[in-house]
Amino acid sequence: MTIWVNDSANQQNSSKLTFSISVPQSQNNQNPAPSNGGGGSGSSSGYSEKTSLESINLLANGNIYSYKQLAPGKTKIEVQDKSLVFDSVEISTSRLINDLEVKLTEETIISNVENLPGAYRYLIVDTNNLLDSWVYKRAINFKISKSIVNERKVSLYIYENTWKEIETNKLGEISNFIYYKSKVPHFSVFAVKISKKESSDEKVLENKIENNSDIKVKVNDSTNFNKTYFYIILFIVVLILTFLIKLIKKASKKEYTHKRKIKRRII
Amino acid sequence: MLKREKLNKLVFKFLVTIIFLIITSTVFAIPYVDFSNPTPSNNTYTTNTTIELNFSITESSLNKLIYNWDGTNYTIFNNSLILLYNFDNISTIGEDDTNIVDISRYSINGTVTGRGTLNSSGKYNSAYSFSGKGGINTTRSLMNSLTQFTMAGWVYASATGSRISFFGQNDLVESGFIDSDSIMLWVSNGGNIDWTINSTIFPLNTWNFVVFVGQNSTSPYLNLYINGLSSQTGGEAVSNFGNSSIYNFSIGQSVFDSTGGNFTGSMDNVMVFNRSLTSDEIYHIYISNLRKYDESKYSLYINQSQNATNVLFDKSYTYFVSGINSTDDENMTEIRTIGVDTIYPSINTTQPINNTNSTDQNLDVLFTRNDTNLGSCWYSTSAETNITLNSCSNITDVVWDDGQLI
Repeated sequence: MTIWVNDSANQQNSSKLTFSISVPQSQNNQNPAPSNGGGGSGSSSGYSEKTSLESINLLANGNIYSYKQLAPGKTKIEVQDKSLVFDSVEISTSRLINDLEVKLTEETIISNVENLPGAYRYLIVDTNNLLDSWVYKRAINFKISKSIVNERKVSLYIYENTWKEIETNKLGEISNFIYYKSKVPHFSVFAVKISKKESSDEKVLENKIENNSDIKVKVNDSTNFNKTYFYIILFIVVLILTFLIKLIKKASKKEYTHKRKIKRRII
Repeated sequence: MLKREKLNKLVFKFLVTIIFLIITSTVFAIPYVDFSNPTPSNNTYTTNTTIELNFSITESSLNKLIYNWDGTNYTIFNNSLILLYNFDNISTIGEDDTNIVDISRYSINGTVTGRGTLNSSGKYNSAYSFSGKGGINTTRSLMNSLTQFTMAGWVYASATGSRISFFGQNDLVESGFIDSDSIMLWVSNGGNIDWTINSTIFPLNTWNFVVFVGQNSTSPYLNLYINGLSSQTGGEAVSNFGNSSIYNFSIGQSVFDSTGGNFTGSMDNVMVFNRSLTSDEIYHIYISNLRKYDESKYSLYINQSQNATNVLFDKSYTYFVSGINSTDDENMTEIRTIGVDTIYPSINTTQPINNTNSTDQNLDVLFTRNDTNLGSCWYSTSAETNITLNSCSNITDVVWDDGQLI
């Protein structure tokens, strides 16, 4: 890889870097499941990565993670209480950060900001000693029981004086849970909302049978799409035909009356 | 009835003519000043450490021309400029082989005598060459009773000699080679300065810009500049540099003596000011060429550096030109900015370590980059080319392929 930089006078400089990506076979083959503590190393899929943390209860006053020194790069703070929607928070920093505190809280209702209609859970991320400019990437991973989702659309919302929907990606399903990930612009108050039925034209399926990995395959459900359109077009064609038939009938009736009038006159 | 209509038409025509005249006289009364090639566009950056600027000025009665560089005004043309010969033989302003037009406000035209010939290889356009048997006479005793003066010109000397004329007024202010080794400025009242020629500073058969400055009350009283740098100072405080002499101002002959002393070589852009120019001003006339090329058209060329010894520093500079006519109507160009940037941007990758393997397909590539005027950043891999990095930020949103060598 070569990274280039130029300046306003169009002087260029570059830096060459060579690295390779090689995901261990064991990680590729394993079913991505969060471990119940005991640690684990990083993986390519991200969400199956776990670090050893004790179970915590975020529903009360939240849980504070303190770092005397946080090294540059990606740090994943994981919540191992399976009853919670909160799964993990990812922070990628560009510099060494001292005395960082991250407080994660999960609530069913929220008091200090307006509630989002239809919100299923509120996830709150508070930080201390962390400037936005030091962080170049943030993500929130969360999970919801399959039975609750029930093929409905799940979205994460961020509160920025008003609730704004953030792109939410379905990572995959593990046992009874569906895992989601959202890259967030900054840490704030978030809401998980389960709304109308999931759109049928795009389904995310996991190719588990093929290679037991978490590779996501997007399949266009074109059959349903075509059927809907077929019925609409058919309806329009029927309408047009009915209109045309009526028009022809009216015209022929007029002609018939006209001819009769002429005949009468002749007689 | 018909008569009335005709009268109305006449009145209407008269009014239209008056309005037209008022508009045209108002518009054309303002001096026209503009940039011309090769002046860089506004807000550009360059790696050049000298910048060529060109301005065009259209004004039939130019009173003042100011060049502003980096916030400082330099008066290139005003009533203190009492003589300026371009030696460009412009027929539209009345020049020919023997008649030279003074483009200052005083029109002290000159006449070529002897074997003075026009030479197309001047410092700027053409120049006059004298093969030791000619010069230029004026009709005025320019230097009488001056308390300050600046005489300047481009000199291409092919030989030195004894009492060889540059420019001046015999018996009052005289300059040139006093002998084969020295350049002298002599004033009737106030002494003289004599500089032993250093052939590195003043080589023969090369264009050199020679300036003689006199100021009666502030030291240095007399000063000789060669190519923008002061080479010799001296003189003494006086009431003025001499009341009068019966001789006229001459170039290339009759300076040290009433006759003879003919110069061998060429001269270009000879100018006289009735004030002493500062060293900064002298540097700016050294790098500029104000030229009249038509009845009311001038061009001003500047080859801007930092000063006579340094090229431009890395920073942003502003510049403009302002022209004022005899009725004090002023017009100026826009203020342009040019940035000089000679330092290359730096870039260093900090993550991952070179020639390493990672198991993380979301691996972030971190790098630091530095430049005063940072432009853009992009990267290329074996799979993709020239991916722009917004705000030159780290590569954080790429999912690398498993098995990929990047």
